[in-house]
Amino acid sequence: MSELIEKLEFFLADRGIYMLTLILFAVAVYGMIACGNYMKKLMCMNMMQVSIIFFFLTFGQKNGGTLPVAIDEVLSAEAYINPLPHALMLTAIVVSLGTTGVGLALLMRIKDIYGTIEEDRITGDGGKKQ
Amino acid sequence: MKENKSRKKLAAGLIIVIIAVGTAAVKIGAFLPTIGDADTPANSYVANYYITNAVKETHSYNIVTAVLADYRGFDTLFETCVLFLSALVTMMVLFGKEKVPKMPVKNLAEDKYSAAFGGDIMDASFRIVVPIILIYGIYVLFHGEISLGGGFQAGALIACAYLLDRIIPSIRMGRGKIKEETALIIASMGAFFYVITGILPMFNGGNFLEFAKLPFGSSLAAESIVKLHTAGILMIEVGVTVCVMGVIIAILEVVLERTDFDE
Amino acid sequence: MPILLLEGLLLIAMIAIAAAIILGKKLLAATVIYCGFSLIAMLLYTVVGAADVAFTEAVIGTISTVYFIIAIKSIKGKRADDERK
Repeated sequence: MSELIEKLEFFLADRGIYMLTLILFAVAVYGMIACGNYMKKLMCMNMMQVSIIFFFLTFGQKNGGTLPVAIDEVLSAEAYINPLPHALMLTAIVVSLGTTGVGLALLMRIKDIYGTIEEDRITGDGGKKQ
Repeated sequence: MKENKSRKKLAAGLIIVIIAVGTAAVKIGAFLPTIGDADTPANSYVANYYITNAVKETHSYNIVTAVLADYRGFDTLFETCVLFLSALVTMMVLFGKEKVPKMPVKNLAEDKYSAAFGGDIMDASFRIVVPIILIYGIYVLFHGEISLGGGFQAGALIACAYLLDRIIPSIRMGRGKIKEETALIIASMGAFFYVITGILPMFNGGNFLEFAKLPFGSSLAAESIVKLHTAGILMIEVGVTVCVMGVIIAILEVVLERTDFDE
Repeated sequence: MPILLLEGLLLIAMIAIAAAIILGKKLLAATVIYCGFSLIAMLLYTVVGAADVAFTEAVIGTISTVYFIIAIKSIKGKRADDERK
């Protein structure tokens, strides 16, 4: 049992986590294309964002490293995990909130003009405006 | 229906191609590093310099804040501007839509909407939670250099407190709300304060956003120069907080004013 | 439990939640599940070691969910809780 866990862990460290992240990204892309409702497309866009941010953050992990906050004195550079991806992804998350706001405003205008937010009804019968 | 099925087949085919190509590339190619390794190219060059020299040069114990606000302060300035731009675009898109007038009520007992929305429990409990969230937000702002925190989290927390106060008492009680134009002006003031922090060292002989030459006090001893870095980081964080708070409140008000809660 | 196993488990949970959002029928239920997705993402960021990012994701995920719910009410009107899709 314990050697099974070791094999699994080695597989995950080598390639497994990247494959799982890629599968989550692919599921979210499928949702963006195949969902008929525009709200769900927006939610799938945010899920794509989460998978990309996690992929970025895995590059900073170190075996035996701790949080990048120096308590009393700075230990050697190997004892802290890499702080550079954290700083870049922090702003990315807040900007995604702004993108969601713009998307929802556009949805409200689409509802005014077309009367529905289902993609089949908008593009199916020629997109009749109201 | 026909279009929906063909679109689903196209999407499924695309996904299988992505997974197959990606899995093959990940398994065959050796260009992705092992997770947890300390010798990868991402962990070697600049990051080691930041870790070993952040506390000495910037007097900030949180290395992520030191990277975000001091070493890479120029990037954070433009991220703040992008946030403000998104709030502006939201207002512009919804500008032509009519606002839904909400008739004011005198107190919460008369409003049928508030009675259905949770009633007395929500009304009594949000009054305890809102000041705690506000104090926590300001605490996180000022402790961004010592422990985890910073400007973005603090701005979002303060906007969260406003959101609770806006939604839970009746939507129709028009007291104490911030108009959308005012919120946008507040956001622009935050970004402007950030730019002023960048321009101030230029009057003293330094570059843009060079905190060692801020014109506060005399810069004789070496300790004072490090404390000037602290002052610069604090001013930047206050600017970012005010901007994020303004953006979240502006987007909320723009959408909330044009929603009909009565039918 | 070793950290990489925990990451793998949380990623599998996230894939399951993503499938539930895509295949669901009601829109309001999908929004509530989206809030759960944000929570699992925050746990994942904490396990990797990025505590600042997890803090930000917790607050921003809540506000984003509230935006979605207000937009659903604005678009659907009266029948927001019992209309399909």
